[in-house]
Amino acid sequence: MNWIDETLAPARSGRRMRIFALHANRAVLGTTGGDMINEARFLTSLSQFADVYYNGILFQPDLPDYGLQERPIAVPQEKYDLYYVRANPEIFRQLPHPKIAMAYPYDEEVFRTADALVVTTEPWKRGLTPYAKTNQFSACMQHWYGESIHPPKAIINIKQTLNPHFIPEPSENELMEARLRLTMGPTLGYFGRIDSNTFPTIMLEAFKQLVEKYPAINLAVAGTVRIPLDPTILRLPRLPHEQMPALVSACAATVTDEGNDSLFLGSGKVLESMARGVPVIAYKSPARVEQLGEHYPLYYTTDHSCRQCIEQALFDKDVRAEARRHLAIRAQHFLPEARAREIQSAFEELVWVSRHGTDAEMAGQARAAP
Amino acid sequence: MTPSTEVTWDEATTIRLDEARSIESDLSLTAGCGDGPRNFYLHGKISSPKGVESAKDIVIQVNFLDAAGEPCRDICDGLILSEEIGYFFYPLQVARAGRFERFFTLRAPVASVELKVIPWRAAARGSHVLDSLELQQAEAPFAFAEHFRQSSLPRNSLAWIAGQLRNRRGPGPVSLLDLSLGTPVPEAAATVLAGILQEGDRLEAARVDSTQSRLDHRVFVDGLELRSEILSELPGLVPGRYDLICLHTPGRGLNELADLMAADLTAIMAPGATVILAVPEAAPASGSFPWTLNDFEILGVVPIAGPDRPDATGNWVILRKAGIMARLPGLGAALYGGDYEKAALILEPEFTGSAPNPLLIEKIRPLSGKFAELAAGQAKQNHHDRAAISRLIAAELDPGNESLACEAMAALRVRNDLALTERLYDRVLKIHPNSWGVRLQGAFLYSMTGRGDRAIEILSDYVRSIRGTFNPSMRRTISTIMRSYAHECQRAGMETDNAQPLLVPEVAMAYNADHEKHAARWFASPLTDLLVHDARDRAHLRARARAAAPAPAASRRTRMLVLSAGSWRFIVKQLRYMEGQQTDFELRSYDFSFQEEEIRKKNLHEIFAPVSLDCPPAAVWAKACKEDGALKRLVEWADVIYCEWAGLPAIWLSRFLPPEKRLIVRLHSYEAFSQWPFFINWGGVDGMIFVADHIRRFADLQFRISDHPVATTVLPNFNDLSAYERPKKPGAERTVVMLGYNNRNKDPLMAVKVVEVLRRSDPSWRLKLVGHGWNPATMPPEEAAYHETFMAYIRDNGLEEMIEFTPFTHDVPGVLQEAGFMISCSWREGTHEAILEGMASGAVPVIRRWPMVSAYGAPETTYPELDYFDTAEEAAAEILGHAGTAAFAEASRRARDYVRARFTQDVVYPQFAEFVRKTIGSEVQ
Repeated sequence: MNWIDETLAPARSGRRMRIFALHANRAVLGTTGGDMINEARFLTSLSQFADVYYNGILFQPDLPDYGLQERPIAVPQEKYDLYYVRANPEIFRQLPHPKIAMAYPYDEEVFRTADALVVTTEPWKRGLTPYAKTNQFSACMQHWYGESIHPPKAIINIKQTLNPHFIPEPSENELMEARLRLTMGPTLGYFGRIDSNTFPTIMLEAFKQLVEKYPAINLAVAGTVRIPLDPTILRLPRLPHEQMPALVSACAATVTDEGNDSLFLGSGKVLESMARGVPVIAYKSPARVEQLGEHYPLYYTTDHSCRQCIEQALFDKDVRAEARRHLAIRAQHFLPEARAREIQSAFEELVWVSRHGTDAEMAGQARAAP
Repeated sequence: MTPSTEVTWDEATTIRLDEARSIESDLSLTAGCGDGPRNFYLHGKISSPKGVESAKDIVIQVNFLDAAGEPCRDICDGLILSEEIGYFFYPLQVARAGRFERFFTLRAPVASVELKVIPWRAAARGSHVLDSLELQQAEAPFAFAEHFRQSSLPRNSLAWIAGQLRNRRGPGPVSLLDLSLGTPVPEAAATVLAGILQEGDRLEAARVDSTQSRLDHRVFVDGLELRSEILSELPGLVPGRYDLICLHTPGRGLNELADLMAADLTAIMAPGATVILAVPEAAPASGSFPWTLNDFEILGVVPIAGPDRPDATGNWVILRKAGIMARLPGLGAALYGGDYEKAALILEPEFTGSAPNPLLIEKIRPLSGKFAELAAGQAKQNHHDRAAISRLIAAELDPGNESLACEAMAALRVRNDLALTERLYDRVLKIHPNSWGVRLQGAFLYSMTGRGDRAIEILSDYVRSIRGTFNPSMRRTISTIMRSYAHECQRAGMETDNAQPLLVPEVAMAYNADHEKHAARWFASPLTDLLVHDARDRAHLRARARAAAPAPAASRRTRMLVLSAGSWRFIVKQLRYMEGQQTDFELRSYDFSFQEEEIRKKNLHEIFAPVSLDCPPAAVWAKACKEDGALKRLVEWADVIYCEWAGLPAIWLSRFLPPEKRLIVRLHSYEAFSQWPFFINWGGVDGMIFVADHIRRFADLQFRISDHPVATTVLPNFNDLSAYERPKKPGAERTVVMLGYNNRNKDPLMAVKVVEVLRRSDPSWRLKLVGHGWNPATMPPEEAAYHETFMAYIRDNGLEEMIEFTPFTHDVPGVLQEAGFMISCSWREGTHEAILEGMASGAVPVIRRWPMVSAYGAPETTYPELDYFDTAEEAAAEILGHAGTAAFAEASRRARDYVRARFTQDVVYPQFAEFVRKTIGSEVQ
């Protein structure tokens, strides 16, 4: 490689970026568990413009287990253009620059030394810039960050990436099988971990009122259940991830999280439903608006508005069509290619600045030259 | 009462009377206690110059006082309790040559102890002299000592040692040897030991330096040097003499001394000596034992207590050589340190071997509870294998404890350690011959070891003996044994671990050789009678409920709730057809997976135990409805419940559905080879749909469905076969296809042999094997063996070229364009759908007489009027009969017509609808 290539950021040299990635102490990324699924999707996006080496092994989105193998977690000896680590401060501390980390969990040294922190939503980013009592976006994050944090150097909103696995139409048999799991009746689906922090309690109350009026409708849940569930809820066992697209498709609508975290965290459920064109009934929060847009028709904030949303999502063809139209538009923004383009731009800039300083700094250096 | 001024007491709260006192009146001595030790050793000497008139001349009263000086009652063990004077004893009653001693223990702390020596009878005043009196307090400091408290733990070192010596030696003097190595002040141990000597006893002391001093009753061996470390060579030491040897060794390690003892001390020990060494040592701070004791076992650890040792902070570590525990290195140290997990590991070979040593058992018997506690902890951490051994040890140590024995047997059984279970069972049964807990463990054991009839016999007795109600735990026991028995009945005397033994060809062939006999075995059981009675009761109940229930409106479609536990694959096409064709059925569905998981985890007793044993269906149904509103709503909505698969959901529904609801069950194939249908309540089933007649016959033989009012029919799966009607590709007429081949049941080796025969006359024949290949990582041994045989046959005969492996594909119609002949070589099939698909594509069927089910009419009843084969040669001849161009075209056309006429969904649906209508009755449209 000549000095120009060495000096220029990879994209400017035409070379693919090489990124080292690591999530906690996991040598491989499984296909169950929200965190790992999201992580794999993010790395899939990165793979579109970069060679991603997860714990030193090339991440290959199309292979089983992404082509990863169990091997000891270790600080890489090879040189990469960028290092991305999530939830492993010990490794992070030993990495060279430029390096970035997920903005959670909080670790003062990570926040201090990272060239940038990664978040998945705009409300999250705004809550950290600055993180302060006077910043209304910070309030919902106090259980994560406490009283104060070390101010990050930069924050990149990578947003979440729509899982391409959800885009192809399921076969008729797959769809029918999913419908059979859902009683063949109109069903609201809530799929994912079920705990008290995220469970949509307003939605449940509204559903319980409506089920007396429409006995054929269901509120179905599938996933790890950590709280006692109301008996009106239709419970499904944990299903293989590959069956989820059909299950989402078989729903009349899906349901998203409520609660504090939903105010600033993204939702994979929303994107999956978006990919399948299935209306989402969403508790309105800044994070949800970022995903679904301000004018999406099926937001609720109260028991009453939730009931209305359910009835519209199940029985009002016009509202369903309008919701689907919004979803189709918003989906473009979260497609892996779209996400990859934005992330690539942000990462390349980060690498460039890391090597050369900001434009202002460069200008200063130029003036100082004899 | 005269307060004593002569009495001294030290900080260790020891009371001592040094000077002799005539017992003229009450003599009172008091010492504070605080929260200190609670074990007391009281001893002294009384002289009686005028002789003793009565053993009750003198009383020693012991008062335990609280902080306010009030006496504490009901607090002491070891003394007589009188309402009048509290705790006391008669010293003359227990005295030998005037010496008396008494041990007692407090159950709670007291502030002080008061001793009163009282001349009880007036005549006794002034007749006796109290020469000495001493109250010592002792407390074993370590957990180890605590465990031995109930057996051999000394309450006081002196008393204990003395007792050991006397007990062992019997009447006559004892000899003690006090060896002190490298210490300038060696007297302590010898002085203490001197306190337990009686007249005629002998204490010898030897020193390695020159600082020894002489005590009155000691015999010194002067000027010794222990240089050679060969103790037996010490001059003056008499071989075989010493009952107790005391080594005082602050300058040398105990390990080193233990080595010496092992080498030499046995020579000078008295025959049968049990206690050979007492070593003053500082207490280990952590309570763990720091030494390796080689061949010695620890008998006890007690504090050194003695009047000449005001700084007596050390302990006697009392050892015995060559005891049973010494055979297990590390055991003593493990027990001493309270490391029962390690102790269990050391003990495991002893307890899992032929039989544990009775001496060892006797020695550690008091620790049974500790091993039981250990087991509970291990089980909590899911270390069930370790817990089983700990339970075994606990049970062997305390065979009278029925509960421990049952827990141990259960744990060993789960560990599949059946020989050990049986050994324990045999022993425990002798102790508790009438215990149901023990006998049921025997039933479990018998059911796991091919003695199901004995298990059922015990279980039947048990069921008959219960006068009260059966709780879920009892029903679980019944469930497990009945299910195991069903498995045994299906095994036909063969050995297999396969959960469905009839799927193993060898078992199936053995069963079929005398199927009436094997099928009858299940029905000879008294517990099966209960199931049969349950079925009759339910049939009556349902008939009454149906008569009372209002008829559904005739104007609406029949509401059918289709139910499966997650396996919908074979009914998807049917339901799509029924929904798409606007049939007479209104459809809803319910996935029973979650319920099934819950039942497997918590309520298997609802599935396998007779419901007449206190499992009322209405209550179970009400509970289910309370937990699952969707199931309740859907069942209430439905006219008929259609249960896909005759597995666990079918059992549950047949038992617990509301009685007015109709239930139809479809049995595919594998269920007929499983134990599930044994437990279906046939009185709760209205109709059974089978996919093949030979499956119906085989199921009826085993489960006696026709004894009950259950309508049955045979209906093929719903198939839209139009996609298969494609033209054949060139070469198809010389291609034999097997669709799905990667297991022994499909027997692809036979297909290879068929094509091998064909190629003898025409090498253009080839075999196409389509589907998933073998996965060596997941193959059970018998499948792996078959795979190896298959591959070896191809390799050894150079047949690689004639075989084409095609991976699994969803485009089956496309693949079948290359199929001229569709071969089925299976040992067992229900319908073998691949044959149907092949025929629909125009491939000529070549079907083996499936050996495992041919006794029941297969495959003729499923595919009538076709040719079948038994051998590769027959199959090849059959194929060659259709191999000419015209003959193949004709056979291909006939195959397509055959399928269209019998198996397409348009043909099957009317039969299905008709069966359902007839089964559920005429009141529903």
